[in-house]
Amino acid sequence: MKEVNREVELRVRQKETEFQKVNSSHLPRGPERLGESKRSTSILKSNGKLMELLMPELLGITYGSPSWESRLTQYFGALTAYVDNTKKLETGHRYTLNDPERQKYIDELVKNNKSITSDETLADYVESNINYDQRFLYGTPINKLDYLHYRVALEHGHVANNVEDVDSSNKIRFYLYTEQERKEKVKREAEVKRAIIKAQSKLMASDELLANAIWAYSLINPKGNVDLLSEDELTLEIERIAKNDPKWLIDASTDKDLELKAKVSKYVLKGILYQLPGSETIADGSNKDEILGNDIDAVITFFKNSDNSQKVNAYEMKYKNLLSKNKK
Amino acid sequence: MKIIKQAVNYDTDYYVDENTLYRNELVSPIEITQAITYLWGMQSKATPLLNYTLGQNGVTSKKPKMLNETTYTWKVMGRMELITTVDSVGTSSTKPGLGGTSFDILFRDGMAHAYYTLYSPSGYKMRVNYEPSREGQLWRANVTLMTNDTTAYVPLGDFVSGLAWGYGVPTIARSKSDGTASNRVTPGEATNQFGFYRFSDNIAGNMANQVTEVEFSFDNGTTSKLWMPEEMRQFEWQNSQMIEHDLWTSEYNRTEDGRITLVDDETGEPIPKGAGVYETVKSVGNYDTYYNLTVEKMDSIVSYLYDHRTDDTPGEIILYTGAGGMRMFNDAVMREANANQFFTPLGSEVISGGDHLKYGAYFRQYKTVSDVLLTVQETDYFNHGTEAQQDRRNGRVYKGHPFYSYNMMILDHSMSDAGGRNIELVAEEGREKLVKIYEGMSQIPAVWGPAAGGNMIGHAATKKDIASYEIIQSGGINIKNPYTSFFLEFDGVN
Repeated sequence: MKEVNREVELRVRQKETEFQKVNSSHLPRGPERLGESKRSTSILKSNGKLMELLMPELLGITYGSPSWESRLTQYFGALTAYVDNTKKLETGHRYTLNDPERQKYIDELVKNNKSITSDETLADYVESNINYDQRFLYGTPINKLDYLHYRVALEHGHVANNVEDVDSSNKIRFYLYTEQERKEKVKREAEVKRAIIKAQSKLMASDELLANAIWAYSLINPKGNVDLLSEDELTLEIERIAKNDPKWLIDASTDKDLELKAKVSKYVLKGILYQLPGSETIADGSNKDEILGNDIDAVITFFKNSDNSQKVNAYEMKYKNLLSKNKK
Repeated sequence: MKIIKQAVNYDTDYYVDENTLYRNELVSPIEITQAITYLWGMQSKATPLLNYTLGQNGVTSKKPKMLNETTYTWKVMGRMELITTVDSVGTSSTKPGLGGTSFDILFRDGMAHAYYTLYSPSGYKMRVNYEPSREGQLWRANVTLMTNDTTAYVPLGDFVSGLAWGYGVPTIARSKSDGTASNRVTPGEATNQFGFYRFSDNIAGNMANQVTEVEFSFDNGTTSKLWMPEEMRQFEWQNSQMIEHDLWTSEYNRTEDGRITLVDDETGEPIPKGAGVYETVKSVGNYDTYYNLTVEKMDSIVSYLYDHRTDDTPGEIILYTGAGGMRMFNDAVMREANANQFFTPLGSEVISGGDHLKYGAYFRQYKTVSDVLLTVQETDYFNHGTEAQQDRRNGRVYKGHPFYSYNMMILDHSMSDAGGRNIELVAEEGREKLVKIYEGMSQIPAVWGPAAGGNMIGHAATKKDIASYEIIQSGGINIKNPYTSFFLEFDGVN
């Protein structure tokens, strides 16, 4: 037998109303209750295999006995999780290769995966390859009531399945939290942060690269004539992009077409090209019906296409002429 | 024979005049009968809170504490419990207490004192060796297991943060003992506030004496062909319906630092709102959801509520619900009876004999094992109130009834030992309800008499051929002890 523990916390959303705040000392909040919902009951009850393997022990009757349906309805109707800030739920599984209740499912798994030869290898295989909601077919939930509360919570409209979704509806009263997910989230955030720092350092290593990045971003968020910005202003601008649009910044740092995108942005500013208001679509500046591309990538493709070299050269010439006129 | 005329023809004109009646065909020359069928009844049973509180004279007037202040307070006293909440084990050990060694426990409160006995969730007894010391938000207590079994230790599961530990009698040696400390509960003040309502009924021309072709009947048994009594019946009904809805759903809107962010655009004045029934009851956690009601769930809720009732006065706990909830209640009892094989003979379902049998005796009460009688009261508020109407229109219907009609609100209307009802309407002293007439050239209808002093001829306040009936009302609902009421919401969403 191999147990794989998995602790999940069902947490109360700590969002107090003004009434709760003003009365928090004298009318303290009691435990919150997570009761039945049509959605959670319907989804779980319609999962016949889950009901067959999970519920006999909780109901105290054998699967399919005459009173099965009514007892099941009563059980779900009365099921309530009392949560005083946090309720810890053990949602892991216990794996046994010779589990008589699950033998047909385990045998099928073993038939296709010869590496499964022991309780341990069964546990390793299932934990790595089988979706969580199907693991009950191969392992017994360690704590069946906790497991049921967890499955109910996953389908309940009053529960956010992760911290990020907690404000997605005013009906949300709880959220699910696991330490593992928290660590993964921290890891993801740290990776993004590292990538931002790397991208920022790379772009700031050269004045030209930095200016090209701001020019290119100007197609999304116009900044006027970037060439007129001071070094300090460019630095603050790149900081702002890192904060508001980190993905763009990370991509820009390795974008081989950054210089070309900056050029397109300069042409737009000078009116050689025309950007349709509120969109990424770019057209010829002297003939706005002639669309070069519906986004910057399409425009870059247009510029790189040798069939368009005459036009591209004409744009280049126009731009140089405008620059020389300005100098005079 | 009765005829239905324009039963759902709403008129939202600012002023009602003769043209309104013509437009709605209420003064047409030909009618089959003059009586009107009220499709949804007279709807006087749709305001349970107003009915119950006003009916019991359960209205309290409060003087504002200061200018522009609408909050009020009432004294509350918590319950003394011999409970302390654990945070964690404070000594690094997988077997705390093994071999009679002392160890530390961190608690979230300072309820345990020197020499007290502590009871862990799995039943181990410990003695607190010294007065616990404060560590930030926690209290560190040094304890020793009270057993001669040297192999005994407290399982780590007993130290899961948030678990309730019990505390008990301080035990000491026969001599040389030092004193300890005790705990106490002191009364505090809970806070709510009332809001204000404004209603106006505007007329123009000679509406006061306008007679219609139909005859209107009223709750007091009288009838009239005059339009204005009917106009006022509708006006008052709509007002009470809106106030009732507000008493249930209103939300307290004053921030902790006393600001009200909802401000009237024209005057810049703040608009106070108090906590209604739902917010008050839900704020203390007395809320749950259901889809299939069970006796077990009702039992647990009622037991919980009565556990919080400490007054000696008889309990008046009523379960309000709609038609859907009534059926759920009956089904729950029937299902429970069937599951226990208490099959009711058909005879007990039959109401009357004779040539025809009538099947249809249903459960309306349930007595718990503790002798508490829970009575279900159907109220039209849950069947036809604003949210029930919305549910019908928006397709939130289950077995023919709007979702809202399945909601169940258990309210404790009991008297408290200190006097007064647990649930009361609260209003500003002197401004409970002010009614005045804004008089122009329009004749004042007799039905406005109570406010205007009869069919008076007074000084016009405007030279226009109009008049209006103006109401300013202050009000809110207050539940002194919200722990003895409970909201059970039907969750029928897919």
